[in-house]
Amino acid sequence: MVLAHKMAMESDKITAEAIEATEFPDLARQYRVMAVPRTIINDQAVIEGAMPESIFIRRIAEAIQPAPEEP
Amino acid sequence: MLFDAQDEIEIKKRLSEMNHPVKVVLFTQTFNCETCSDTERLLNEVAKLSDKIQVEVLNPQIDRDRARQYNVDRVPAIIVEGERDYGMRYFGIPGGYEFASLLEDLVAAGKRESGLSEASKEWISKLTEPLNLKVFVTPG
Repeated sequence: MVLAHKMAMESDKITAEAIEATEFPDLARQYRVMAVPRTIINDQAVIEGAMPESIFIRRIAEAIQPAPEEP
Repeated sequence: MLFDAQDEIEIKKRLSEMNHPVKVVLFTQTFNCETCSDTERLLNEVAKLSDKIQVEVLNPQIDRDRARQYNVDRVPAIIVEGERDYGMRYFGIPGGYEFASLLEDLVAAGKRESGLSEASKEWISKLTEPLNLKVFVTPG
């Protein structure tokens, strides 16, 4: 969780929300939370589990890069 | 008291790393919120352990403009602010394992330093589109 918050600190473009899954079962259901931590990127891509900073950032980068155009 | 004497010493020591003021905005309400009063108590107890932490308590039903400003649609909601709103949010009580996260966020905000690596900071500085991260957690 802290990693996402620290990322938010670094940029006005980033918002990071820690959501307590048991308190908000509606959101947990909506985002299909089976285990924590589960990170949802721009309401689309998912990262499961905790990981080192460099891997977390790389996963996010992969998730938000635009899909290659069809040839 | 939520913390025993030893807890207080450790938390105080941790928070002593803060050298700038931090505002913690809490949205809370009396009805339909099981953890709101515990969250308020927790934050007030933490704030007693550092003169750098100020807690502002708001009610989203009354302080509607502020709730809109912070994009808060559920309670309890916690915003940790330094010289600006960093976009850090907690929805739900930061208890158990998440309490350690809260302390780390307070210290980072109080130092005005995220502590991320230079490589991470550089990647973040190149973002051109908004990025929203929702991290689901449990108190553990």
